[in-house]
Amino acid sequence: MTLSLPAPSRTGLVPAPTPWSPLVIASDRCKGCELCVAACPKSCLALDQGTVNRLGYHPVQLTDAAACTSCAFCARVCPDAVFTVFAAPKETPR
Amino acid sequence: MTTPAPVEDPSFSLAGTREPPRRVLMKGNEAIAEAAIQAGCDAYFGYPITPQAELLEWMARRMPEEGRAFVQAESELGAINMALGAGAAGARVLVSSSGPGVSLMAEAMSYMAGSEVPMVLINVMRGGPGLGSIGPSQSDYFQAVKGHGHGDYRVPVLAPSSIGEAMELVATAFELAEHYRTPVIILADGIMGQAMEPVEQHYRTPARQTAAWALTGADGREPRVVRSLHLAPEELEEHNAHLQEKFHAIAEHEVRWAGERLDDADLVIVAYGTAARVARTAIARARAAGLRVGLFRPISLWPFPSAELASVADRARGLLVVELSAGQMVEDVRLAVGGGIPVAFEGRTGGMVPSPDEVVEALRELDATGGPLRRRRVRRRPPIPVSGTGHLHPHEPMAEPETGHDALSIFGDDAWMPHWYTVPVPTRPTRNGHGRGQGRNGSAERRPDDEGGSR
Amino acid sequence: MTATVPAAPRVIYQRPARLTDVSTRYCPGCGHGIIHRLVAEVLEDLGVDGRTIAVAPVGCSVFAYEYLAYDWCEAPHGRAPAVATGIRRVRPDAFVLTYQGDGDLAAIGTGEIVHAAARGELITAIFVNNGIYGMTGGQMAPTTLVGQRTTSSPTGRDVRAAGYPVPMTEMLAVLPGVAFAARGSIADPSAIGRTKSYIRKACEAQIRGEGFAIVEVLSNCPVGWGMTAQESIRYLQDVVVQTYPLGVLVDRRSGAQAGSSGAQAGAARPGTPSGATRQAEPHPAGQEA
Repeated sequence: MTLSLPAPSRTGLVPAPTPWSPLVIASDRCKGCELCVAACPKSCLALDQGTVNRLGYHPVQLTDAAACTSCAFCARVCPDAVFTVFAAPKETPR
Repeated sequence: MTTPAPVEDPSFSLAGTREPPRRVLMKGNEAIAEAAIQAGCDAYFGYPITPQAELLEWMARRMPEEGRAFVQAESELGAINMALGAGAAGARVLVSSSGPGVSLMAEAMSYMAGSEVPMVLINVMRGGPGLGSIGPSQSDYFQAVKGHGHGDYRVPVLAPSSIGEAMELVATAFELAEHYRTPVIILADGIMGQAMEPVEQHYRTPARQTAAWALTGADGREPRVVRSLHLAPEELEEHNAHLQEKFHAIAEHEVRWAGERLDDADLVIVAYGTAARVARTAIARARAAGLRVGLFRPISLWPFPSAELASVADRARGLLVVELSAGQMVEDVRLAVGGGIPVAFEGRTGGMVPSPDEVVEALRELDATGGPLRRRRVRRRPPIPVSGTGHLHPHEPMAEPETGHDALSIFGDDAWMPHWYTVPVPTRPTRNGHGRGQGRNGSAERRPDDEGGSR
Repeated sequence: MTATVPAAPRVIYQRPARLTDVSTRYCPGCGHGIIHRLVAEVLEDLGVDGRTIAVAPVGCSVFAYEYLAYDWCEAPHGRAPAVATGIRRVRPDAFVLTYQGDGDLAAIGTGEIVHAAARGELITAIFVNNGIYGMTGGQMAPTTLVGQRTTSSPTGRDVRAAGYPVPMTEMLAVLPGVAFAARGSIADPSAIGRTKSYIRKACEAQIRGEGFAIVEVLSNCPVGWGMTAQESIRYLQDVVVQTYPLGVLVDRRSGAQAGSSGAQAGAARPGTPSGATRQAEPHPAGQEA
């Protein structure tokens, strides 16, 4: 069985999620190594035991968006670059 | 890149092709090096080894003068891998060494053949095997022609027999390398490298082909990868098929050879490089003594001029192969003529050069017997009787393998059973006490199921 | 009256463009992925990724060319520094990077790395030290720790039989041709940040023509070490750094403050006035494709 990988896209820029979330997780590329879980100072990451991704792992998910401070520690330690981290949106003055 | 203006150097004149060719006394290694520079060589990587050192020294002085790359590497391993990098980056690259150094380059040669990197390697051969001697030799024929590294690949091998021809073949080698995207070997030897000859400087700069595959930095284009790794077997097989197509094309279009006095010859000497020059003198003496002898001189050792040799052999009574070795090209000659006519051999090893008289003597024997020369008895191991089914044990007929019976072997037979591969140890006269079949401590090793085979 | 327009949320962090959007073959938690990303970030920050020609080793990271979208040349095992030298000498305008594992660099490739450093070759070497031959199934490497079990040191590395872990980067740091040598690790976010700054300084050393630069990155091999990813990170933090201390080993770059943490003061190079940078020789103009 050859693993058919998605064609490499060079977009790099992941669109911001609506509704807003501090993290966008490319869960189809997560290998469930949990390095981010250990690194998160707010422990608001955990593996989603309910789903299995294409690679056969439980992907990581954000358990508490409010607690997340967008410090991007998760993105720093992730060997598979699954995280895109956004700052909290600021209301622009009228 | 424009051809650089010739450098006026007081000690010798480097007149380019523009001025009328004048004869200059040049040492082979230096003439070859200058020819490479004039052929547009962008980078030279080497390592000191006799009898090629002067080539490296010439490059050390001249390449920086031309603003081009010169590196004396940490070893021949370093040098050939620098060539791999420079070639992959689209440069015209030269490496030179001698037998022992070329042995260290085997792996990278296979990589360059697999990843199709053009470069030229000059082997100024010396006596072997091992450290051998620094005398001239042709004992690296197999290494160059039959493959140095691993995997199915061939590499064009060109064999000049004079310094002038060597200078011409350097340009040819760059052309072949870049046209077919392959390493190319030039086989010279210690005489050709270190002897001095008057040389007419006809330099040639092969046209540059824009290399759409060369590594320059993926700026505004898809990245390029120069690699020989193809992990999926299907992919590697496809790549091999592509390489084989290339080798067939080279074999079809790039055969080079020269014939001398063949029209009325009934004995033909087959020799290349320095051996061909010895043969030329021998032919003159033999003809003076009434023998009609010609010379067939392969210039491309791969692709070997088999068809041409076969047609020449059709009109001759016998071939004499002359080499500065124990006989390597002679095998390809025998393959080419397919036993049609006798093929005799005359050669010297260790750095010795056969003399013209020795060759004439061999010609007389070939002429007199009309058949093959008395073969020097070469002790051959008694051939191990291998019947069609690979059954090695003379006494026990092999049981008919019931198909599917034996799940342990993927072939469904029981060839993995030990009794099939206990090879009787052939008897051999012991040589200073260390003959085979004797343990290191001198006592004969008795194998449990040995039926007296070893005594 | 215009409605409040929510500003597009600012991107704090995103995958660098040249890090391809594919799932790597590396094992879960393997540090190679992190180091690839750091390289991609630094080359992007310095704006040299368009002229980068990288050299891939033989080992787990042999597939780096599938994950980092540069021009790549594959080197035989251990020979990346020589291949890079060849590229460097004919493409003076290129940014040349080698990426090697510990088996590749510190075992079979010692000759090539030492002489590339001795020549002060203008290349940047990334040296991933995970103390093991990963691709071939977890054998002992020159950097395997004393007593560490691997598939070829089943009872633990015995110094009588297999000697001591090789301090490769310290050995290279004494060579005058080396402009910058440091050892980082991927053990935690701050260590990763420091490693990224080392990689950046090493790349700057090349760009400014100051000499050979190498960054050794202590990494993990969960499968080879027989640990979970998180256990391997703790092992890296607590055990490996005892044998392989972190920090800048030498910084001879001009303008480098002498005595930066742990670094030998810019040891003067014989033949050059102390601190003076080695002028990048006018490398030959290579051939334009």
